[in-house]
Amino acid sequence: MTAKRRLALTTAALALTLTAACGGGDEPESTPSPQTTSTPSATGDATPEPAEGVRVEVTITADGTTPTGDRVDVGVGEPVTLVVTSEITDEVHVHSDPEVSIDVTPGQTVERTFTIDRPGQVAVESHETGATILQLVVQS
Amino acid sequence: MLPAIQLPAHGVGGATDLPIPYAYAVVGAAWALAISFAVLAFAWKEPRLQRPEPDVAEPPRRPWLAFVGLLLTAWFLGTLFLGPDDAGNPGLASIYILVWVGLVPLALLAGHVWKDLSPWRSIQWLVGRITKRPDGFVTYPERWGYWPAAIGLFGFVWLELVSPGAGDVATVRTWVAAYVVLTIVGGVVLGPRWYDRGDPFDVYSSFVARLAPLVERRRFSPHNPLVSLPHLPIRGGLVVVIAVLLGSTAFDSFSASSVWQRTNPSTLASTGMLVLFCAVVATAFWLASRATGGVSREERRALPGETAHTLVPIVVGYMFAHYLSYLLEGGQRAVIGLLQQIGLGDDLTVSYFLSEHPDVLAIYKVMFVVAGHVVAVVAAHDIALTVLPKAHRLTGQLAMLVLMVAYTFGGIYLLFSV
Repeated sequence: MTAKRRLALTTAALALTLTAACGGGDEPESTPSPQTTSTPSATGDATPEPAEGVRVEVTITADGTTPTGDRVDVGVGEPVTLVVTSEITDEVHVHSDPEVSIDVTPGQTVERTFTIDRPGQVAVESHETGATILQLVVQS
Repeated sequence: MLPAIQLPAHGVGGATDLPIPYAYAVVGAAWALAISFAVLAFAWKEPRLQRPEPDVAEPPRRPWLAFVGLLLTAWFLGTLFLGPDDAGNPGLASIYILVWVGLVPLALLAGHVWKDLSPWRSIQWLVGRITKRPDGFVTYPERWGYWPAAIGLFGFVWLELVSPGAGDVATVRTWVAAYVVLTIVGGVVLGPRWYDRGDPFDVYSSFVARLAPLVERRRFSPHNPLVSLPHLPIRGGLVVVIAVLLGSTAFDSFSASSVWQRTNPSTLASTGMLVLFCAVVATAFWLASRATGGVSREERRALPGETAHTLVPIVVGYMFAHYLSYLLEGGQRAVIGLLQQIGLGDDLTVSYFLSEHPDVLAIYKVMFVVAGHVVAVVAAHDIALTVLPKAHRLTGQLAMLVLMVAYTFGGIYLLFSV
């Protein structure tokens, strides 16, 4: 199953890269640079380590967010910590149920830890820039 | 009470489904492909599903259902307009989930009951009685076809999937107010035909209702839905209506992909991409349906309309696959929220069975897509036997078959990759 899952992800990544390549010509500088400092999800199917959890650093400027549109694998109930540094006043919305909202002000770094208790994909969005910062891929 | 937060995709917040596992996608795609070519190669050689539509007048609207429709409308719109001014307003979910997605299972189960429920038809009927103009003041122009419905449907999917105000109460109130005014004025001026051809929700429901196995002409009558499906009236804009439904659902999947999100698309870019999705669906179908030999120019021109009904099962299957958890789980939230507006339902909780069992959900999703595909392929084979000349029956339906396989693979690919 794990091997299949890996294969699936690799194929998906390949296909998506191809799609991106075909649809390209937008901005050459938008080479996807995964700036996430998430702990590598090497835990995979093993029991999640609640002490560690996933940690992602987010930077928000008036032009957009870093990262933008990244996928981050998270276990159900695993703590997710967002460390948000912003140059603008913004709200970061985690579209879980219930929702999590993180208020940030210029120059400030805010850290917030939460868990998601159901499988699914949870978008993390910057309200001001409209960008989808992350998509948390929550699996048990 | 839901927190007051601006909500994202689908207009209503919350988590979305996990991608379906790779193995499920492959098995689903393999079934779709195998069944398609089995139908083409071994199936019947004479049309079996084409019968003239019985010359029976449509029964009148049922007053008790019209009354229920008025009550529901008052409840939904009362909540939307008088409820909270933030995104926690259950009126949003009642429109995006109960009305828009719930319309499909309602029509499949109960036929075109929308016609009975429609409060706009009730108002038109009342005004028509008072003014002694039950059929309006102007004849609905024949050349308009389904175009007003197509435009209205595009307006709705744009609001839900593209508009930055999708989750904003004020924006949705404005949209709904404009829709209500247009729908009532259109009905009063043009008569009930406006609803049959111009009201986006009414038209959508009437299309899906052709597949209802238990109901025909809005009365209980078990029958083979593949026989009632080809009776879908052919009018201008038919292909566009279907393309907007299918293209927008695919766009909804695509817009959640990493590839698209990384570009942080502007509203304009999203609008362009939504139009592109719908245009590709429509153009591909238009080309594939015409790709046959042995027909005159006139006959070829008629082919897209004559075969467009075969896409309805694909739309329905993909709608269910894409929106199943949204309908069942978001729908529970919407109903609870609506009940709370009238002081009930405080002790109800939402069951997240499907989200908690992603494998079960994935099986259902693949099954819906494949089932829709199979029904579509069977319908397409049968209509091809009717409209294509004898010598070109096999080759003439190849393009359509390939197109349907492409739609289905595309749908499964989106379910798997996003």
